[in-house]
Amino acid sequence: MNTDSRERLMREIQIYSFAVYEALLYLDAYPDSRAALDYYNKYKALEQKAMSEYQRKYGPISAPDNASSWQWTEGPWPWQNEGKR
Amino acid sequence: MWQYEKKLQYPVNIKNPNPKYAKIIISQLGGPDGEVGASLRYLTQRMAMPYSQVIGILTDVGTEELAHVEMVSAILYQLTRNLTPEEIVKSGFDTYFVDHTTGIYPVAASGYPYSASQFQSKGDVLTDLNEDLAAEQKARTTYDNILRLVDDPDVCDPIKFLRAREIVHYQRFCDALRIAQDNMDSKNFYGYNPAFDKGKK
Repeated sequence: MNTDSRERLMREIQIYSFAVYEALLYLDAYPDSRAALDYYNKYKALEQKAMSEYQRKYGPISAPDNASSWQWTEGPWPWQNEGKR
Repeated sequence: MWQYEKKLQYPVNIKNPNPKYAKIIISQLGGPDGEVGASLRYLTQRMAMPYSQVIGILTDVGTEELAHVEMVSAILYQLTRNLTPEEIVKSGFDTYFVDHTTGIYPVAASGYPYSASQFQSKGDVLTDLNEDLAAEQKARTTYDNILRLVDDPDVCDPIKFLRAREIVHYQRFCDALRIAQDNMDSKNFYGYNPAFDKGKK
């Protein structure tokens, strides 16, 4: 497994997820902001696309909708970066 | 309910273990202004909150705090890997080690275990939101102090991220206070507590 490309894709997800969550908090306070809603929708779509790609290649990020085998408990878990020193 | 996502909110990749740093950073897990208290504060306070929009802010900020509990825990885990007994004694980490080995347990840097006595859920709209504003600033100061004491870019990077989130949360709680006050009697905000004195005007 290519750790570099796995890590790069996870980083991409983290960037999109961050944009999504930041917009979500903003929309809680400013629900009428069309610009914030467009921003949220844009990054939510990018996040979902990156998440699907990651899950297809490297296993589940959230418990799967429909699994042919149970990979959910397979590591590494997010705090385990042992391989990267 | 909540569902777990198998990812950190922001990456934590620490190359060099350092139990001395772990000893101080642990305060942001179980200390007086730490992330465990932050999540419990918002997720408990939201129950009595009468304004939907403010409940939303408390829910979503409280949820993000759970992700910060995980990030701080990941920092602590990576700072305390592969330690020798000599390193543990020399760094002063021995007083924690004797009770917890290198397991992650919420305590303050002083060693005082996490205590719910360090936050309030007062059941009063203005009191709770003012507590939340202060809490975000206190956590920001703690991260500032950590950055004054830590000199490893692998550690400072996620700590800077967490520090910036305190400022954003503070801004959202400013919005929450404004939203609450817009719903209250502007002639006397203290005339009644809308979280308790229901039906009164």
